[in-house]
Amino acid sequence: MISYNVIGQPIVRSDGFEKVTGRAQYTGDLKLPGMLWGKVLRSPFAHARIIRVDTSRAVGLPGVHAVLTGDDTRGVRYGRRLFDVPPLAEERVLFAGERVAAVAAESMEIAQNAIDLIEVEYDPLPAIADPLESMKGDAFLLHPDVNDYVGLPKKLEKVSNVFVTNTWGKGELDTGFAQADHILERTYTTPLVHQAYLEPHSCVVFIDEDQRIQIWAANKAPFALRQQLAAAIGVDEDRIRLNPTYIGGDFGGKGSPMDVPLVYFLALHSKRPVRMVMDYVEEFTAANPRHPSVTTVRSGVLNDGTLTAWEARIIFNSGAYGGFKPGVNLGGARDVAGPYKIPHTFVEAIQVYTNSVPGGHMRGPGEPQGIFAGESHLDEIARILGIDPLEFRLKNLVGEGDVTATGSLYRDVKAKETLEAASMAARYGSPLAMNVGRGMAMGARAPGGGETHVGVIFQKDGTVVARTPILDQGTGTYTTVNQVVAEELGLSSDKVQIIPWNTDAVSFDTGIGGSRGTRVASQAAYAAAQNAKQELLRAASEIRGWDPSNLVLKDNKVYKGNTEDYIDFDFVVQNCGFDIQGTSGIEDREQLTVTAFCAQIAEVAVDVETGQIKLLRFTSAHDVGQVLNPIGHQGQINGGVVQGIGYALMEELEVEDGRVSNVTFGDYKIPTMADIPELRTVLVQSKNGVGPYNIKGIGENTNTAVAAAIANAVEDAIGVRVYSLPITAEKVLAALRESNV
Amino acid sequence: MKPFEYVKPNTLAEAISALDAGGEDARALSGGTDLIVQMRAGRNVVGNVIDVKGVTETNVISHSKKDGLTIGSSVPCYRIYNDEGIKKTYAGLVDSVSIIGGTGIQGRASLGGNLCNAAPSGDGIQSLIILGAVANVEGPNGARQIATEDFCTAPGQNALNPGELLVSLSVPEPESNAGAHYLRFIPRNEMDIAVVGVGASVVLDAEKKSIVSARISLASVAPTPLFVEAAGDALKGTEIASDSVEKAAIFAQEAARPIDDMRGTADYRLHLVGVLTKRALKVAIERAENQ
Amino acid sequence: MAKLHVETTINGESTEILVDPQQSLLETLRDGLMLTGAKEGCNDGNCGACTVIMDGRTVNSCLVLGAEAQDADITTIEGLATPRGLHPLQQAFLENAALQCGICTPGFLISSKSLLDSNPNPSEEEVRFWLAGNLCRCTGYDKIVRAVLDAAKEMKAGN
Repeated sequence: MISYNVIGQPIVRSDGFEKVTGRAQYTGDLKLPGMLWGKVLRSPFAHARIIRVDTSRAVGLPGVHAVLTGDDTRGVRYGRRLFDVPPLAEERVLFAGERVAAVAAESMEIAQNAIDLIEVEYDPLPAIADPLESMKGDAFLLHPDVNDYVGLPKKLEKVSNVFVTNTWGKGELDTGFAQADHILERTYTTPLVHQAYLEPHSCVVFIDEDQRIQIWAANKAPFALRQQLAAAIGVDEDRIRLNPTYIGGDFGGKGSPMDVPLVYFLALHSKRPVRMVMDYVEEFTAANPRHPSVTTVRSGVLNDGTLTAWEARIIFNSGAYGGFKPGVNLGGARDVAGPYKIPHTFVEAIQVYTNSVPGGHMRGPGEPQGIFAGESHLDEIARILGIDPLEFRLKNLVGEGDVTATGSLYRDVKAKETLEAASMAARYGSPLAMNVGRGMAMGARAPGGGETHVGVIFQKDGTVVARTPILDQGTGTYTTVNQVVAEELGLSSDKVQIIPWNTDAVSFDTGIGGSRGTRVASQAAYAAAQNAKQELLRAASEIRGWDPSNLVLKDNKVYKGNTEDYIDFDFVVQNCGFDIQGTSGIEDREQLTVTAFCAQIAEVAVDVETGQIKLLRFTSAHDVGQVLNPIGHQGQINGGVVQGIGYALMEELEVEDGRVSNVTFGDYKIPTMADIPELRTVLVQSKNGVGPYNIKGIGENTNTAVAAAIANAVEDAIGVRVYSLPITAEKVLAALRESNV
Repeated sequence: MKPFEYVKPNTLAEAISALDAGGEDARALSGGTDLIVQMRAGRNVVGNVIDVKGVTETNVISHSKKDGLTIGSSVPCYRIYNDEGIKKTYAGLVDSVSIIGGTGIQGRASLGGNLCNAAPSGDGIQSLIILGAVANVEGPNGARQIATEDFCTAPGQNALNPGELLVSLSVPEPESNAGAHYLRFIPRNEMDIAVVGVGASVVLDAEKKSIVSARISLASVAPTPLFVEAAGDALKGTEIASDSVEKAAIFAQEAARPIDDMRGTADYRLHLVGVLTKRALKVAIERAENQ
Repeated sequence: MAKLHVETTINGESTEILVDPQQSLLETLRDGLMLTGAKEGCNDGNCGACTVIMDGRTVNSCLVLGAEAQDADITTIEGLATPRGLHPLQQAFLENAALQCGICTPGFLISSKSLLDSNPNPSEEEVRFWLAGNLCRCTGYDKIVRAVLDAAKEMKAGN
């Protein structure tokens, strides 16, 4: 092992001081002179024709500076890749909560009053909320013009509400099923759930005197947002500047342009800065929650537990639009087949338009849905065959040289080691009380690729400023950059200050997401620090006339080779006569042979009188590279697990008549501090990793297998299985009653 | 929130006169944890907000063997569950006021407000009903008392006439050998609204063998908190070791009229009424036995 | 409606403010006094991001009217640190990485302060239930529990 001074240490977050003192500025905290409040009028109908919008009374209200309808934004469509979202509805509204009109006014209250004065006449139309209905040939089309949309991956031969399909697989399914001794087919459903970041979507747009479009937004991919907005409104990207701000939680949900295009139009029409903050009812009703899914898995297995065939179809309910996912489909769906060596496979994922709130990204997009189905299914097969689920998995998991069910080949494969580590830590196999059970599930995820830049500038006081275009939404990227720069320059962490860049500063940054932050940012920070260090050594050599090829930076000093002759680095910075800095641009999009496995084991007790599940313990094992910051790393694990617990047991946006009905945190339940069981973590060290420190990602892997582990534990405890999330007490009781019939 | 007039009277007389002047348009404000949410969401349009927290009578907690317990209508939950006398004598009340919302809510929300808000799920209301509490009301036409089981008339509606103020709640001193318990079923461990709640109180005989009287009240299974007299009557005179608890649970289920909503189906709620009634009674009896 | 004149004490300083009757304490702090540390999350008392201490008790400032702050003594996150440095809770949150995105952090710190003010030696169970009204979606809560227990220990040692 290489020994480090700052890397691998529990370094305090770079943004910690500002956050514990309340000084950290989020978009909603920003005030600009003359700033107006934006507010939206939303459709109460899941599907309706707009007959008439009368804004005259709103326009006449003192303090109102702009009132817009679909006529003012006609023809504009935006999205993260598929451009199908209008800033304001034109002829039709396609979901309850869709924006129909917007105002900008001098106060929130005036804005709300103006909204209340807008009259809209609707002709309600039949709505389709169920993707299975929407897929049928005779269903009406939500988007008849889908083939004309920018960003549709493949033109549809026949226009339908199914607008994108992805498939994975290998071998011959028929062969695999022909070999099988047992064939099992089951269907699983997962609910619509909200990311539940506590900072709602918010943005401020201001067109300045130079006609630059200045934006502050709760968006973790500002360069992508700049591209998306420029393309949607038809301006050069250079006119748009995204300014740094703190982001109050993301979990995948803060990558969409959301209201920014609309607020641009409000700023344009009002000629004033405009702020729009969604309230949480709007968040629950009309943001971009995790897609609900219906997944059917059919598998073939030999009597000895060898899997021979695996067929899965995941139907994602995209909602009314597809614009809030950068891949148009959700690639994580393939994980329904897991890290198992199944010879004959076919996995299909489709996206279907329906009259409901559009889906977006949430922590491992597609994975929690797929893994809930796949890992629930595996457990059931094992139990049918009378094989312990642990043994069954160990038999089928990939090892070194094995190709996964959907065709991935990894090196230094730690799948079995990770599962065994979880099993040890959870004391799997030790005796359990009545109605108590254990269940397991696995996931695997490689860190995503992307592009970023870092700048390192030595300061005359002996500190260093590191610049990054990444906005830290809580996962700790600023601290990553800090630690890498400090490590490479031989400084302590507190000597490195992070100052984020706006989008003018560098050409591009992919933004946070896909567990790429550490992979990409650590490489960029490393390269920038090395470049800055070379500059510093060059400057030192010029001052002292030393040979620049033989200098060593150590303890804030530049040494002449291995001698005791040195020069203090702040002296160099103060006296060299130029700014000492280093920059880097890293583009690393390589398809990796590195992945990270996760094995999780839940222990639950079930109250068989009420069906209520009590989570007793939850164990996570992860195979990791070099952990850059153990406390930050642990936070990603705990936070992911707790989100997974919510997904498993309580979270669901309930839709009645096309409308989300549980629109407060009282009715949309996420786990509180009192709901969290003992969390155990065990790390399996892998030699394999990415970049100068051999790192892996930890952002998403932590939450994708949790629900399946809990579902499997419930079956272990009481012998019944729940096939739909969340596993509520009522569903457990119903399953128990059915099994007793 | 829509604009309104705000006044904070200092005496009971001023408060009643302000409420009277405001009529249908006026609402008393205590903790505000329901009222402000409703006004913000537009579910409750109020022209005059009368902040009654300045009125002495709404802020008292007094407790004596003779007169029982009096709790002013503005007294927040935390003052109730932190009161040593109440903790000792009224465990069945502490059960509910300590689970209304989280700490921040309990710092403001009052038991009186919980009653006036008249939510079918109101946890505190069930405790009041099983303990036989009465509401002390004053208005322009004088004072009157309303039994707490008669106070809620419909979801969000109560028996107060315009101009009337709930001043305080009187809970009688428990008889010897009495015990009470409130519990609810929620998806989480804290910060939740009852899918079903059940309050039960019992008085045992001197030998602690049979039940002299009992009261049972149900949350979230009817348009109002539901006092089930028949369930209590079924227990009267029965031995605690008998199957009378089972019978009481059946009476409770028969009285319940739950609906399907996002928190649970009617069927599931009926089932929970049975389970929770038995559990509530078990604890109430244990408490009585330990008196 | 006429504005109301309110005299209150915020973070130890007497303050006079004009509020609309319908303005919440949260809005008063954020828009009127530029104290933006308390955050608006849900605006209905379910998330705890707006928590402040009012007369010794934690309250959701979104559920308090600005007018109700008359004669009150209010502590916000901006008043937690002293000129001598961070409050032990702030320090413990930093050392335990008990914060990530930071939007819930002011509310958690304020609720934790009121817990330790009233119960300097809480059990883990007491911490979990006291803070259950503060939602956090990043940390999984465990590190916050550790931080509060650490701060309690530190404050006891310091006394």
